[in-house]
Amino acid sequence: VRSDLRLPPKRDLPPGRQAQRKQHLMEEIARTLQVDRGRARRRARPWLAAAAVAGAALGVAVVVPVLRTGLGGAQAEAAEVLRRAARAAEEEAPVASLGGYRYTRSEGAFLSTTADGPAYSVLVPEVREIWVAPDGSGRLLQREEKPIFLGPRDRLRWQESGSPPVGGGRTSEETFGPGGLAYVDLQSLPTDPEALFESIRDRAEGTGVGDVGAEMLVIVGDLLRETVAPPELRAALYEVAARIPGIELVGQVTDPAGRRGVAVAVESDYSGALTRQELIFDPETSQMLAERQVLLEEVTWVDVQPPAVIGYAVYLVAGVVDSTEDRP
Amino acid sequence: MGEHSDRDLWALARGGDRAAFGVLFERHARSVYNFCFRRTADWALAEDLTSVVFLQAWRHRDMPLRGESALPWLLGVAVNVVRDHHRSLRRFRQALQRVAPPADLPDFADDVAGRIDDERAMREVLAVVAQLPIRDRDVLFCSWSGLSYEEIAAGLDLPVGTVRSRLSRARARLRELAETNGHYLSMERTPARATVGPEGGEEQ
Repeated sequence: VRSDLRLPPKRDLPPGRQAQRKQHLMEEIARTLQVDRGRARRRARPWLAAAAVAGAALGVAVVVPVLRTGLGGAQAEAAEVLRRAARAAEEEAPVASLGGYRYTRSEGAFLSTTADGPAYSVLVPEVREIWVAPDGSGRLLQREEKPIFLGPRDRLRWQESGSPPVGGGRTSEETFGPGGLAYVDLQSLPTDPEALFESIRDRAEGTGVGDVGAEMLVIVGDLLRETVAPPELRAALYEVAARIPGIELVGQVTDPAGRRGVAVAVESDYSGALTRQELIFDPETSQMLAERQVLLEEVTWVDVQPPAVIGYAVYLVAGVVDSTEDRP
Repeated sequence: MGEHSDRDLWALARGGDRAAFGVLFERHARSVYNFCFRRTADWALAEDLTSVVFLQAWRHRDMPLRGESALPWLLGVAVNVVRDHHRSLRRFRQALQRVAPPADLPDFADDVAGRIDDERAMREVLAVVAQLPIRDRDVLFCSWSGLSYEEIAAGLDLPVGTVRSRLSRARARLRELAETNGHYLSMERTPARATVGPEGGEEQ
């Protein structure tokens, strides 16, 4: 029996939704412009140790970084440890030719919020595996685990709204042809730290986000994470991170997988709530270990006492394999 | 501001003019919404992705606009947003949390049923399209949005000849795949308009 393969007709957004979405867009844009102006004022906030609450709820090792308030020397200290990682990368033998696929397995969690009525959130753990070849072809596997409530109020609100599905449990698998996964042409990036800093700063400014330092750390993280960055580029990336305005040393931490590392971070509120974007790495090997997002202020949409971890990704396995079916 | 060209509005938006960007949203939201639906077969998800595409476009408003219409550029952004949409949604999670809940408007039962049918039909199409190389998919979906070869080239930053050859290859392969998978191919005919040069000069 053959069935018709047809493209469904185009539709308008549901009644009233286009106007609502436009309103939302206008408000979000106003917010990015405000954040830009309010940045200097907010930067002075002292940062506290990550709360045991979040770690316990996650069932992962609790990280209690030591950080002084009054971050006078923090930038210099962050720079020092980042430069150590840069030197470690420089000493690595250059990669002759990178055939095959660079494989990365990471585990993490992200916050999923429902706002139809009183808002509540769950933390959705996720396992992500990616194979990417130098030409950008590859495979991406994502598996979401059972969601976790961070606080009793959120669970109650969820039950009161009829316990609808809250995400989690989805699995997706996709394969990509050349160019499919390559967001950045690594070959085109300068390995001179000065030039690389300027290129990354220009890109960060080009996003219009306002908080250039936070955006720069995101870009550096993107380039260190699931790319095929050769040692000399990795060295330059740590040099760039050392110069990011507002970068602070959080200190020695244990990542959610129990590995020792050092965290540096940039504070930002461009997403609407004040958060810290943290990058955790091993300065002796220059490997990036994990990223975390820490909520620093109380909000209405998640029942958790700040500071609290509301998202993280731990990079567990990395290596080069011959095909998208292989794991190192 | 409705009589302004996309190009003028874009220039105003680059200077930080929100209202100008709002007019671009009014003009192109429907096309972006349908593009996102066709890539995901999920109307609710397409609505969130539409917001993400415009938020992302605002972040990148410093990019120069090639051509007269902003739509090719917006669909170029959409291609990247839907490609790894889990990550895109996460990146804009907090912004999306601030979307107002749907207003209390009557649901039209036939509209709801129609949308469910659409999703089923679109999943069937996607299952077949998934067998095409991704770069061919990108070109195909842009052409289904009614873009010309030149517009697709501008939106995806490709040479026009490449667009032409990928599109012709994708269409031929799709027909073949549909038949192998036991379907009749009854796509609406919305071939890309050739605005320059004659048809048929396919490049290898």
